[in-house]
Amino acid sequence: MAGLAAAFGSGAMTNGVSELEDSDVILIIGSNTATSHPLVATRIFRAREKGAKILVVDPRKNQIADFADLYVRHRPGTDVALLNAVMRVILEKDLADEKFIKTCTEGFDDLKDTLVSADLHALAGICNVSVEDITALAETYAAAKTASIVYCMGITQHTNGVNNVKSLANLSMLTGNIGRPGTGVNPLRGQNNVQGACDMGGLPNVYTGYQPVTLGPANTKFAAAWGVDALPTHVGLTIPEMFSAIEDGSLKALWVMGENPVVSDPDADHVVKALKKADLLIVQDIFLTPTARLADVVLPGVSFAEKDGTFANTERRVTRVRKAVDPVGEARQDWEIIQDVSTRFGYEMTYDSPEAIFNEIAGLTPSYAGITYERLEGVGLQWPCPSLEHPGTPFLHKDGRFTRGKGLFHAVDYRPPAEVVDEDFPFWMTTGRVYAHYHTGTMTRNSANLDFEVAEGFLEINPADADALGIRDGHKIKMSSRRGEIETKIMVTDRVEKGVVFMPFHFEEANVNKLTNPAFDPVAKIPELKVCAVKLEKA
Amino acid sequence: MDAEQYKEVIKQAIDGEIEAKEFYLEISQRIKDDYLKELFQGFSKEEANHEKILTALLEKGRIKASVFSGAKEYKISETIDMPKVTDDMDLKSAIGLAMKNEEIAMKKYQGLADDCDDPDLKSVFTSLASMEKDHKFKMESAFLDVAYPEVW
Repeated sequence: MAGLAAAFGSGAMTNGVSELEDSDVILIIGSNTATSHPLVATRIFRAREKGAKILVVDPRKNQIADFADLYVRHRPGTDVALLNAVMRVILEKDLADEKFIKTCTEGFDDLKDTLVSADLHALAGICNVSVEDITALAETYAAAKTASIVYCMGITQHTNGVNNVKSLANLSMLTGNIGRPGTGVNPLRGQNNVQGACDMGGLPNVYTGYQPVTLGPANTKFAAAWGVDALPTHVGLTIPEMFSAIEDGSLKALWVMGENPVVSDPDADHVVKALKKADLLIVQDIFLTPTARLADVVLPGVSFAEKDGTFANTERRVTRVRKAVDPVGEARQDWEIIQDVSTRFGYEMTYDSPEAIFNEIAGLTPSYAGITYERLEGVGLQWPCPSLEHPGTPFLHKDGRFTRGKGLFHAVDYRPPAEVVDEDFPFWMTTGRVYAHYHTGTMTRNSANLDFEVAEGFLEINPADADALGIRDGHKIKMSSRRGEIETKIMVTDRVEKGVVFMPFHFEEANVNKLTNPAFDPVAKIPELKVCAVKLEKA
Repeated sequence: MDAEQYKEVIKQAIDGEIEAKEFYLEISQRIKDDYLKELFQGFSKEEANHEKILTALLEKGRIKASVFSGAKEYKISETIDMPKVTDDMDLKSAIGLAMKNEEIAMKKYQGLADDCDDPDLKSVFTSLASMEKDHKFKMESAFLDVAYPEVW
């Protein structure tokens, strides 16, 4: 999000999901859309039926790549090199939207200098993509009247993730594909309510609606609403920083809600070590996850089907969620747990419903000010929705009027991943998801039907590499990195190219995140889950 | 309402537009940021355009209620306080300032219409309020583009 915020002034998905149906060209990069966002993929398939061209760029030939007009497989972690090459071709072939660049953007000359001074063949060599494919990508994207970019964690989970996103913003502005329906740069959120969690201030530095804790007016407003004299003005810790803080003794207690860092975070052995060192670990979840098993206190929360409230999805759409079944066993509403703990700590909370909490949110959050439960009946509302009279905002940066004023180009040079292959660890390893499971499998692996579909972890390996190692489908292999080792079965497939392996991260018994690299982007603090170097040996 | 009375009302409205035009021009000359400088110059030109429209109406003799729609309003302006003018004000405050000024102008004419017993004069004030409401709507749309960023 930091990359989009720097370029456009706001990090949210620029356009709505349904608009994809009206795009002429959809560039999907670093997104396993058909598997991870099937409803978004449905819109893309509809666009395809209407004649849209689908371009898929990914180191792994994922399911949606099978439907692409052009699939480009680049080396993991080389997105900036590929995108710079594409933009260089657009410039060379005079396909840039000069009017848009002149009237709606700034910083173009710096980007142009970077692109012109780069060697196209050298860039092609870095990303291991032919100049022909780069040219086809450039021509197809730039020729479209309405071209949309869709990306996900394949772009962001890198040490240069912010630069990857800035490059996508560059590409959209270079061709004027922003600020109109069916265009834009669209990050797909990793879970159904990531947008909502961020909107609610589930971040170390903001209140609801991204109101900075460091600014006086927001602090004063929230302090008044909550009946206290003052609130802290310092920025909190990101997740990687929390683990480091536990290790150095400056953080004593951790309360984890609906998160399973033992399986989801990089360098998992290090995460476990840190969690064990905490004086107090509280985990609030719906199942006894690997993280919950380390906890001093487990608080049983409720699933989506057992609660009332709202979610905000990837396109900034706030919708109602309604309780369908009563909570199971001793499980309690999450807001009630928080309210009771707060009250026992001495700050009394007396909300009587999720709606009462929502009304407070709307009263304190300008971008949500016009949203009420009553108005959420039906399809919901997309923020910003600042007043009761406002209908919500389907897409941002209308007609090239960016949130920051003019869109800002960033001259970005390629930087390799934090860890590259060498003699000791000769394979590039990347991670992701499979259709049957969701994130760390804490829910889907508790479903017999879903677990039956894909019951254990596996490593995808190219046939040539399997031959060289003397292994076949179903054989066990030991995979190690500088941080740990695991054993897993292999799946021989040309979904990955020679020298690259892929493993889903849903499986705690073959936890691939024991191997991934905790190095993180210096701005967004997102770890490099998508690239590390590994060694393979027969088990 | 006689013709002179009508002319006087429109002249006052024109004076309001001239005052706003000069106000924005003055800010554009002292503000530091180039983009905002351009933006305030644009506001000033917009007010000059309003001035022209009203002058044309004055010359035609009578204002038609249908000239200004005043149909749409988000009431976003009502959710913020008047931003302070400073040399280093940000984009949100700059557009917020213009939006608030349109709200003030709209409410002024609405108030005059409400307090007016003369049906003809009331109609003129209502039309002018509609005009300012149109301007306010335009500014609210612009404010929406810049005021609610996701930045963290």
